[in-house]
Amino acid sequence: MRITLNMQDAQSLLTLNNQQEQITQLSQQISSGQQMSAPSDDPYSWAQAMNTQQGLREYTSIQSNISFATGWEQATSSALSQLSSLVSQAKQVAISASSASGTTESAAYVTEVNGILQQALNLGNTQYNGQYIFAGAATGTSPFSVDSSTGAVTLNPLCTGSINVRTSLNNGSSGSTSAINITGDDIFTYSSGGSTLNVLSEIQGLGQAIQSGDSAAISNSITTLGDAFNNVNNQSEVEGARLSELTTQQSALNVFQTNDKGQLSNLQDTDMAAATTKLQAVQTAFQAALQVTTKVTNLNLASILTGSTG
Amino acid sequence: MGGLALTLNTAEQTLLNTQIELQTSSNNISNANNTWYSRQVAVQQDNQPYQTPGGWVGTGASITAITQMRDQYLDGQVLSATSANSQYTSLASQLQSIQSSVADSGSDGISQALGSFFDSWDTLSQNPSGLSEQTGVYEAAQNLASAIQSSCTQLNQASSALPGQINDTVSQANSLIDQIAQLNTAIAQTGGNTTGQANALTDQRYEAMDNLSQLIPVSFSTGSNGMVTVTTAESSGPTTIVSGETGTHISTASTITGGQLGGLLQAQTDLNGYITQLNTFTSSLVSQVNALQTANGGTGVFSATAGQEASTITASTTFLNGHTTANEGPIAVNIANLQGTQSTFSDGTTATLQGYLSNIQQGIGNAVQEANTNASFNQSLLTQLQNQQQSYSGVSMDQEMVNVIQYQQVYQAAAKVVETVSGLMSTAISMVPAAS
Repeated sequence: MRITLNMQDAQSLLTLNNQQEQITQLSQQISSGQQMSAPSDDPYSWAQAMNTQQGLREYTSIQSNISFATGWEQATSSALSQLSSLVSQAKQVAISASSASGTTESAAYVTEVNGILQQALNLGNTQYNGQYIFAGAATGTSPFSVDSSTGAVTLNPLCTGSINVRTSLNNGSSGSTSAINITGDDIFTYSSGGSTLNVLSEIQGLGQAIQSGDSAAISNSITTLGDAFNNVNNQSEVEGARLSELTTQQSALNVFQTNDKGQLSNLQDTDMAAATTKLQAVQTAFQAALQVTTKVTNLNLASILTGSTG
Repeated sequence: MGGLALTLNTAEQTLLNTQIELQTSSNNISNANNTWYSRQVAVQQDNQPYQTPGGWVGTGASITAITQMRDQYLDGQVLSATSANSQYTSLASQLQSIQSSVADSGSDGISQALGSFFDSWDTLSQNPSGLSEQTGVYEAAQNLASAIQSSCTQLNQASSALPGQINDTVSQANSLIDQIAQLNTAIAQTGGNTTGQANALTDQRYEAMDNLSQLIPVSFSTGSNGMVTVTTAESSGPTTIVSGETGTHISTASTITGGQLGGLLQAQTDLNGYITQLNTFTSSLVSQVNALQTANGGTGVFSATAGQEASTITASTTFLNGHTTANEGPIAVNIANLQGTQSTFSDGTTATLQGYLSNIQQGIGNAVQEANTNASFNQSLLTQLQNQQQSYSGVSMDQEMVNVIQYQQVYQAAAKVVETVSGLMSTAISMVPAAS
């Protein structure tokens, strides 16, 4: 084969360019820590990384929902346990008042019952994150109010409806959300002896019965308050179950998250050891190519003839 | 009978011949780094002998022609590899710049905006009446709309820059077509390339064809009069662009399938495809989100003009107005759930919104990768073919140096013959007694 000047030039240029390109790519991978700088570097992995990243973002979002829900449930749970002891306290008062021996004693019971009523009312208006947790879906409005002139307790009519946040991944079908709230209706309204009653009204009624000395009403109160106590405790159990489910979801999410982070790292991150070794190899080859190019350029008959005659 | 005078003549011709050969070598050397140059060779032929009683005596040599070492088959191969190489190089460079407008690393761009948009609805579901949560949703919606718009604007800019480039390429190609036709005429006027008179013109014509092959696909055949017929490839089949002395211009409406022009036309088709995909994505986003948000009445989150959704998408700043906490909560959950929900897009793809976005990016990544692979394959092929071409047609310095030494020695030998004959002649002349 005849070797010409243009041939040597073109060949050297192609080799040097290719090596230079590899060096640029490797050093970019090493300095950025990322294997891919554009989809064209590895289209399939790029798309996978994008989808994984979106998944991780959704996990973070759900995690925030879970911690919000956990806070909510804890606030609910503590309100319920306080309410449960208030109701049991009211029942105790009713038992004691049924054998009251004078107006002074009765008056003291009335005061105590009114205090319990006030506390129960405050619990009903418990807020978490600025929202009334027992107000159903209308978390901006306080669920209970007392008419200052008549003293009548009013349950906000909108005190129903659920608050939903996403606490687990949606697998394509909607409706994988569960309510995080227990409505005021569920807790404060209960059935006793075939009729629907309200805890607050019952406590209020107890106070009125003690004041008027209506012993039949007081003994009725002992029964109805007992049912109210049971209802609150039942709701507490629902609450406990929800909290433990949230914990399960949280730990499942952590496993997913760890897996996906690992996968993302596999897809995106540069294998430093491999890349550095490869860079060194390419650099050595590049240096050799440069040397050869310089040497070969001088290797021709003309230069030798000039050398021998001059 | 020739005698000494004939010997002197033969030596003189040798001196002249070596001068021509040296000049040819010198011409070769001076064109050594001219890519389009084909080395020239002075063709020697020995002269007619004449008869003597001792036998037929040779009468030296003469140079009959200076021919070019050109291999038309290799030339054709090089031209087609040049077209393919420049097609994929130009496609790759166009797509690469488009890629950066479409692709985001997932931590910025449309994907990030889409993710944040869904996150904001999750946050809203925690407190549907919260002012800061509502502001978050409004802002995320605006960001998403503007991310889509800016991506689309970049694509549109790239798309509107292409016709200009296509025009330039077409007019460059047309001026080369004219040049080839003119050179055809000039070559035919010298009587074709049989005499070697048109060597330089042929080199120039090859240069023009090589330049043309970078712009459009070129194949050629040489006629008996030395003129070439040049054809290019359109999607409908081969089209003749130079026939003898006539050049036929190509237009911007041509469907050229190779060369830089082919690359640009391909890039334009691809680019329009990506714009359509972005519109499809946006259209699906707008309709799905709006359908959920307006389930209980009210206004939708986004609005966009049909057919050009990506460039016209805007987010309303009042879409939460008139929604009660009770009905916005479930809506927020539904919209957040959308991110994991697969839906069927208008082009038939079934995917989640993010999946569709990733798919667009994977598509463009594949296109760039393919163009790059093709470009580097054709670059290697071209280099290989050019090497073969050079091996045949290129100037080897070593060969020329060896030739020059040879010519030098022949010249010296011929000079020696002249000197010897001159001595003999003197002797012969001195044999004649001087007139007294």
